[in-house]
Formats: sequence, C-alpha cells, structure tokens
Amino acid sequence: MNKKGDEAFVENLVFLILNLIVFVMLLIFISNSANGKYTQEQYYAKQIASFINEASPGMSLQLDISDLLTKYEKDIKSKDNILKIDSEKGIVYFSLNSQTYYSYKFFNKVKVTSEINGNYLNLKIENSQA
Amino acid sequence: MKNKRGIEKIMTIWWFFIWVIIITGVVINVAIFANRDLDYRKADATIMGNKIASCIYLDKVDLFKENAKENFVKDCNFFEDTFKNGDRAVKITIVGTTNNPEIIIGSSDMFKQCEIKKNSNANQYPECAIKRIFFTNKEGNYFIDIITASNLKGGRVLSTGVK
Repeated sequence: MNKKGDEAFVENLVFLILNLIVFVMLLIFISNSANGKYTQEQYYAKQIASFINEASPGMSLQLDISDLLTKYEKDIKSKDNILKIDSEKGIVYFSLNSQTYYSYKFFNKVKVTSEINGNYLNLKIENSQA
Repeated sequence: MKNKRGIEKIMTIWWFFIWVIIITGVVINVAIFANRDLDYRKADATIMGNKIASCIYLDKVDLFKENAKENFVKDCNFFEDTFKNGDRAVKITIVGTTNNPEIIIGSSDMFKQCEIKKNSNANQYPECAIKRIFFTNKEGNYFIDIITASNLKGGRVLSTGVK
C-alpha cells in the first residue's frame, strides 16, 4: 500500500516539475518576445527612414544606440552589419542578428552614409550624385 | 482501486492535451503580437506632405506649367519609383484659380480608400495626410491642398539579399 502511495507521489511530483519547466519556458518566451529584437529592428529601420525623408543635404544625425548594443551584445556579431543603406534604391536595412534584416523604403533621393562609432550611429546626408 | 488508477492515467493524458492546447495558443498569440507591424503610414504621409509643401514654397516645381506632373518627381527630389508601386500617392489641388488644376501622382484609388476609411475600420487601406498651404506668385494668391497617402509596409529580407 505504501509502495503504491510512493509511486503516486513520484508521478505527481514529476508531473508538477514538468509543468513548472514548461511554465518557466513559456514565461521566458513571452519575456523575450515582449522585448523582441524583431520589433526593435522594425522601429529603428522606420525611424532612420523617417529621418532621411525629412533631412536635407548637409545634415547629419548622431543616434545613441548603447542600450541596443548592450542588450543584444550576444546577437550582434559585427557592428558594421547592423545598418545598411542602399542610397540607389532608397532602402534602409536594420538587423541585430546579421541573418535577417528589416527593410523599409525612404523617398528622399539623397546619398546617405552611415558608420557606428563607439555607442553612436552616425548618418550623413549628401546630395545624390545621380 | 485498479479502476481509479486507470482513470487517473487517462486524466493525466487529458491534462497533457489541455496544456498543449493552452501553450500553443499563448505561443501563437505572443508571436503575432511580437511581430506586429509598427504603423508608420500616417507619419510617412505627413512627412511626404511636408516635403512637397517645402518643394512648392522653394519654387523647385512650377505647378502651373503643363509638364508639372511629368517633372514633379524629379524636381522635388523623389526616387523615380516612389509613386509607382501603389504604396504612396499624392494629390495636389490649386484652389482659387479658374480651372482648379489638379495633379495626381500614384494610384488615385488610394484617396478613395482613405475616404472609405474615415467611416470604417479598414486597416488595410492607406493612411492619408492633408495639408493646406497659402501660396502667392505673380499670377495671384492661392491655397494649395496637398493630400498624401501611404500604405507602405516594411519587410524582412535575408542577409544574402542585402548589399
């Protein structure tokens, strides 16, 4: 009788532990998604495109991205690959993992050069050569 | 006693299925929420309207010329394909002249959709921004209505497709 009681206790304990593991994994997933890098990539791509659309040649922008660099330190393999701007087609690409980029089109026909210097992202707007 | 144990085991399987259903539901909803599109269409239309107003003020484009429409994209420094993909459109109306000239660049359907959207919840329809500017030149004083529409959404691309 005691043996059966022990078995039931072990079964319930295993079931409870499994439930807890699944629940913790679910919480981690929700937490990661809420602070998701996909949303961040989208946000930065659209903000940068908006700035380019409003800018005139000669303007420059310095954006503090220290929070981003700290938060996604493990994901970012190379700072040079975070932002790419195609000035010929007018597309901003932003990525925090270098595997996929979020792309957004801007309409202002200007030449944009970008570089990341320390914790700052610098954008320089120049006249389009075409 | 044997039957009770059997029922307990069946209940465990049902509990497992209920867990799977709940977790799948939560995961799907969170994934949809996390990947939702940040809606920048209104901001895009507003910025586009400001740029066009600035272009008109600075005399980069002459709306009274016959070929104003053909040269508009180049004169106002837009990319050539800006209004060709059905993502963006602009309608400029000069109010106060005898013939009220109107220039539409891009799909005119977008403006109709904006009108429909005013009285409905059609999220797939574009966002519009309206701007009225006062303009004066040697031919007189006019109001110029600039309506811009944007339905531009970004997208995700693989790094291999990025230069």
